Amino acid sequence: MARLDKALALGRGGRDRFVSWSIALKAFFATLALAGVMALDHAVARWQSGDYAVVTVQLPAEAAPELRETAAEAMRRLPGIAAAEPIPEADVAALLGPWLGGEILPVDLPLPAMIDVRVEPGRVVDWPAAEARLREVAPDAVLDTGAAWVDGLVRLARAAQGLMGAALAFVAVVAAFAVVFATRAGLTAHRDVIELVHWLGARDRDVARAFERRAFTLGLRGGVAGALAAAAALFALGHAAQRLETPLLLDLALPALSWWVFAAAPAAAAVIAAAAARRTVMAALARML
Amino acid sequence: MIRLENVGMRYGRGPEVLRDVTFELAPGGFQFVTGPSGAGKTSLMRLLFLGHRPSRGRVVAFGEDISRMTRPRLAELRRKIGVVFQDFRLIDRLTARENVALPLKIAGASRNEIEGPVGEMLDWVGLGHRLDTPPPELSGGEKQRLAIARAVIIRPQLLLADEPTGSMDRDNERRVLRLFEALNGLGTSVVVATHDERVTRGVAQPCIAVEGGRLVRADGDSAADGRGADGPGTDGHGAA
Repeated sequence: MARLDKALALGRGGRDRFVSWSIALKAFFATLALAGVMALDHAVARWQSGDYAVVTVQLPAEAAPELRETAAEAMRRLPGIAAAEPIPEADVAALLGPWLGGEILPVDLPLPAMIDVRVEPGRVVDWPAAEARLREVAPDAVLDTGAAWVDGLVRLARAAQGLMGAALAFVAVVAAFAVVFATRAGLTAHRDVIELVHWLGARDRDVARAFERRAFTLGLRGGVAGALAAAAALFALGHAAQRLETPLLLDLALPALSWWVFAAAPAAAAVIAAAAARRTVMAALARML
Repeated sequence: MIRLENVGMRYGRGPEVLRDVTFELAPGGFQFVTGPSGAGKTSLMRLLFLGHRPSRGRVVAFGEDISRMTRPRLAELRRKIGVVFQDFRLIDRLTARENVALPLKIAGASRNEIEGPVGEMLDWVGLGHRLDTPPPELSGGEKQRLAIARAVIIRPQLLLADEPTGSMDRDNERRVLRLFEALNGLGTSVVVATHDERVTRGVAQPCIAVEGGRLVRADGDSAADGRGADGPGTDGHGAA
């Protein structure tokens, strides 16, 4: 029940506008950080699923053509493998040519036999199990999953996620402090009325509720503005990334079901603001009789 | 109803404004507190309406020691006390009706429980025609009556009035005192603080005086200094 809202008349003056704008700015950065964390999570899942892992099987140059076919067949039978085809020797020579100093390679240069392996999109392959199976049919075979490349990318993404998470926490703390200072200013400005309502029998929580409601409204208003601005910025970024047609960038897109972050940001801003206001008021009133 | 035992009071780290005050107000009593400006009457009233903690001594209100009371319990007890403040303490942004309704709202009364009594109360103090007028548009006397209406709307067990007739002419002054006597007749304990000796001249109610932060008898003798138990509350000058 809004018993004291009118008596306290919170929300008059420019202080509330400042708080609202301040929360909007913080909600903007917080939403971007949260969206970044989720987009990276999505991308990491895709990278780890093998979409970008260039998987090849190498066999010694002296391996018989039958062994090459047996190894390819063993790979095809594994779950998550869409295709496994031996690469013709001419293609292997063409691939290696630029790295060995010329397009025409010496005739007697031994070239390893290679099998190109394709992973079903979105499937996660158990590579250690695959390598074990391969060794059963071809003990000298080497499976190159490109894991090192993906692992490096994942480590970088995880570090970026950690930074974004820290930024998110920092923004939440700064927003809470902005509300604490605004609430303290409000308590000072309304001290006479707060003292009076106490003397008339108001409980601390009655006074705190008035401040809490006001802070909740300001937090929600600022949060909605910030989240809308962040949504617009992300939409523009996504549009620009699509025009670049770079698969890695496309992977950074926010998954469809994760757009709830734009609703969560205003709710979180409102709850943080209300909690900060309540705590501030209760602590301040405890010092009064 | 309220008992002060060897109480001292100070604001912040300042000097004591009340010293060694021992005083008891019995239920249904009527008590005048007199003394010159700055003697400590308002501070004493502040202790009585539980608006300030004593720096030493003990305050027992409605049978409970306030130093051991939880804050919600303190708020509950304050709802049993009506206060007419010297400076009225009306909220300028609220109408007369809303000012009077405030104690009822704080007590959690519903809209129906508020509207009727508030209108009747304002009629009773002669402000029935100024329901929607904010305090800045009222005269000094009207503000005083509005403050009285706000103090008594909750039917308090104890009514404290600090200089309640300060802005009034002689007729209104008598009217207000008759109002307090009527409330006292209905069982409300009343304490009226005034510096105006005209107000207490010839009244039947007991008088105590405050001077230099100490409680003295009406004849000027010290009632403190280790003789608290013999103070005004127990010698016929105190609580009625």
